[in-house]
Amino acid sequence: MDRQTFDRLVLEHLPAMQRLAVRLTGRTDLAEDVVQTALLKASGAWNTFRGESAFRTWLLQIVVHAFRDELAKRKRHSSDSLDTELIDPKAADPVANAGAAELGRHVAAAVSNLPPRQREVLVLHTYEQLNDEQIARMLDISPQNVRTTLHLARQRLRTMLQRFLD
Amino acid sequence: MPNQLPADDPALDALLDTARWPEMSAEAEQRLRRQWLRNRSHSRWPAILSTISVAAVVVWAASLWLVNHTSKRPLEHVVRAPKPLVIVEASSSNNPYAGRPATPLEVAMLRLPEKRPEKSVNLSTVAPSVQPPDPVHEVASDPVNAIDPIILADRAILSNDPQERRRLIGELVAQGPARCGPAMLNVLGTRASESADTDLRSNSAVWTDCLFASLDDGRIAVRQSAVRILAEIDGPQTTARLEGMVNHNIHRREAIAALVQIRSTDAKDFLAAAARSPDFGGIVLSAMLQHSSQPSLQGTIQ
Repeated sequence: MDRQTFDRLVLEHLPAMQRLAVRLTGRTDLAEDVVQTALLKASGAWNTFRGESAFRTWLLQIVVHAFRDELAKRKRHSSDSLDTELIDPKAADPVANAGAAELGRHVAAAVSNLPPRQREVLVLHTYEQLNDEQIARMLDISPQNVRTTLHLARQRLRTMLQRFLD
Repeated sequence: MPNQLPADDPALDALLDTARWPEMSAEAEQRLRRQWLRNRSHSRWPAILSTISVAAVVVWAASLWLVNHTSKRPLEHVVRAPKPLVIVEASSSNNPYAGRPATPLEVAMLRLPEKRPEKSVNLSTVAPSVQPPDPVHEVASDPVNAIDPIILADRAILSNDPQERRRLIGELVAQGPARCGPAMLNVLGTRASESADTDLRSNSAVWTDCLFASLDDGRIAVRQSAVRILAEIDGPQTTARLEGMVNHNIHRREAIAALVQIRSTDAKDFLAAAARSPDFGGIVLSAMLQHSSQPSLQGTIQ
């Protein structure tokens, strides 16, 4: 793949990168940092793309790695946590705030409050429509591990969103 | 959902579908696009610089080629004809082996081709009165304009024409022993020396001088090769000159090493006497031990 094609494909997939970053971080400002880091990584590693995976999958993998870097950076400066501005899904009363948009924010906050690995697997599976093999390759874990992690994530979400389910 | 993982909780899936994350602003997206374009232009700099470097090298090489092919005159390959060999006596200032000039009688004796009569060597009486070695024969030549002897030797080795090889060897020998020594070592044993064999035999005194001159070379390998070839010559003149070098302490170690390898009775007698001498005994024994521990050198000199 020549550099021009690569540049064009990156710009085409930029919205998908932003979406994934927002879903993983739960915050647009952090998502912008993650995408910036991902773009830097992609720019330096453009000639390592060998076409073994879809370009989109390759880019999303870079976003996941950038997200992990951001997590590690924030963990070192523990006062600035990723979760600081997230809505506590248990705090608000869904009945009182019956609007669909409000419900959607609560569900999103619940997803973005999952432990990082569960969050990655659930977002990639549920919202990026990747199957377990693709997720396993992307996260460098076994497909069985993907299934187990996804099961745990869904269990945790069910607990967190129980009131909405009822 | 086109996914292999079973969705065993439709209610949860439906709830998850309602999730709404905040959207990034258009400004943020523009910032990211600008950053990407900036990254792209930065990442292209190394490629641009390397392209410019390659282009500069190509232009430089092309201009060099043009200059060479437009202004250069055809190369004239001048090979000077070998000069006739003229044997003259060496001056003592240039000759490491020279003591006083040899008398006509000594020269005549040293150049006798046949074996000299057996003699009993008594080092204690001979050593103080032994004559200095035969002075190295200098050959009239012009050392300033002469071609480098190593180059001559290489050309002689590489030439396919026997006559040319012979001519080059003649030119090499004409430069005199002081210059031709190490180059002659390169030539000996090759087809070049075979081509010039007759010439070398007729001028044996000169090219033997080349070998003796090589004993003064700073490189051990050259000195060892000269020692080996002198030993292979195994002639009375050579033996006498080597004995003289030992007695006059001129490259004594190399001379003894050569004598140890010589099979003639002269050399054996001399070494037997030298081995008993307190001055030479240690060196002779060391050379003998070294020689006996080496593999046979037979056949190494053609």
